[in-house]
Amino acid sequence: MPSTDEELVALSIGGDLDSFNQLVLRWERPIYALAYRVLGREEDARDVSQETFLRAFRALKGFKGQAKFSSWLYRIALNLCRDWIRRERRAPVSQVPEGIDIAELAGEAIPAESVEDRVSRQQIGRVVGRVMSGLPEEQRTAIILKEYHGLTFQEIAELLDCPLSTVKTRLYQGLTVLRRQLRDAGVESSFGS
Amino acid sequence: MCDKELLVSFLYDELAAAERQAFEQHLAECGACRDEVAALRATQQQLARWSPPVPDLGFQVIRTPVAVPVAVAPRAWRGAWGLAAAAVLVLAAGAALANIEVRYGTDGLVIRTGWRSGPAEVRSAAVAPVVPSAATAAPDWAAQARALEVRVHQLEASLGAQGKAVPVQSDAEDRAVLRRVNEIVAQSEARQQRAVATHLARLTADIDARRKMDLALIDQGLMRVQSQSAAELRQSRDLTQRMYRATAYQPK
Repeated sequence: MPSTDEELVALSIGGDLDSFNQLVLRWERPIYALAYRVLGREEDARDVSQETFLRAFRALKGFKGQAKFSSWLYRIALNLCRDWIRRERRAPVSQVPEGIDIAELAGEAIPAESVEDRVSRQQIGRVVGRVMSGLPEEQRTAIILKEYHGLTFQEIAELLDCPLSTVKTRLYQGLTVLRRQLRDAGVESSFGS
Repeated sequence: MCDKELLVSFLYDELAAAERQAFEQHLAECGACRDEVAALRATQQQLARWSPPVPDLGFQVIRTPVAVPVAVAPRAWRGAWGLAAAAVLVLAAGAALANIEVRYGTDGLVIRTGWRSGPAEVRSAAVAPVVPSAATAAPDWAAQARALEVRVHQLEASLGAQGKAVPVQSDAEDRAVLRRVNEIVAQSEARQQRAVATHLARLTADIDARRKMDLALIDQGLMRVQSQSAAELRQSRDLTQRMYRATAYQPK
């Protein structure tokens, strides 16, 4: 029977390394996806993810359970992403999706989807990635946490240390900019509105 | 102006039932908000097309033994230290052997080994000064050579004369001398053994330190190779994906 995050955290604090590695296994992909969407570069996302777990492991004894373990991980990862952006002094890049990914074709393709649809989906994804990378960091982060990680407004507000209304404003503004830029890039016509 | 925060909350279904009902009522009356909600829903659909690559992550935290920091000396120095240790050993053994002195003089056959306790002036004469004094700073080499030559001649003459004049010693005296010789040789051997044992212990310690240093270097090398292998693996995976794309993409 799979353990909850809280149970695994308690065991990890007690020195059980296997339990912590179970947490890593459970959260490495979401954390990687978050870092990838914020930074836009595979290698950097990988490094940030790895560093996130390393820091979490080192600071585990200080985790008192006042927030969800996943929120705590997200906070570490986002801080690392911010540090990376400041250090690099540049906007995130739009590297991916780099055309067709083997793993996605093999495992994630929709069975009824034709090759043309698949390529089209990849191309749209590439445009979305590029447009997202052009958004201000606060708006981009809010959209990523809401759209791709399903956090509530309250959770996002706590993570980003800002009022609830600010989160909603950032989301609305970000989505509005995205909508306009995707339309300008000719993507909106594929779906209609 | 319509409430955009309410619109976003409606979009993400984070309104209480009463608020939701009220906003739906508003949408029925407000065409602009209705259009905006529809447009933003379409944008959400487009966002769903952006998926990250699927990497081979497999992060794991592993516990490694704490490595004792080893001061790594350059390779050339390490070799030199090894040679120096061997040289010290050889010199020590040689010095012990070289200190056996056999002399035949007016007082009969004399055998001395190292660490002798002769007259003070003899000991001091055997030790070369490390720093020359002002008086000896500029020695007269020619004069010294001549003096040495004269001294050698005197000794040769003396030995020749004594060889003829030395009376044959009695058996009792010979036995006493032999006993003394045996004692001195035994003491010398004991000292040599101690010296050799000391140097062997030092040599063993040196070898052990060197071995630990080499193991640390091998360990570092292995870690480097592992990290390089992981990087190469990623490169080869990227290359495979590019090749696959190149073959799978058929331009119309």
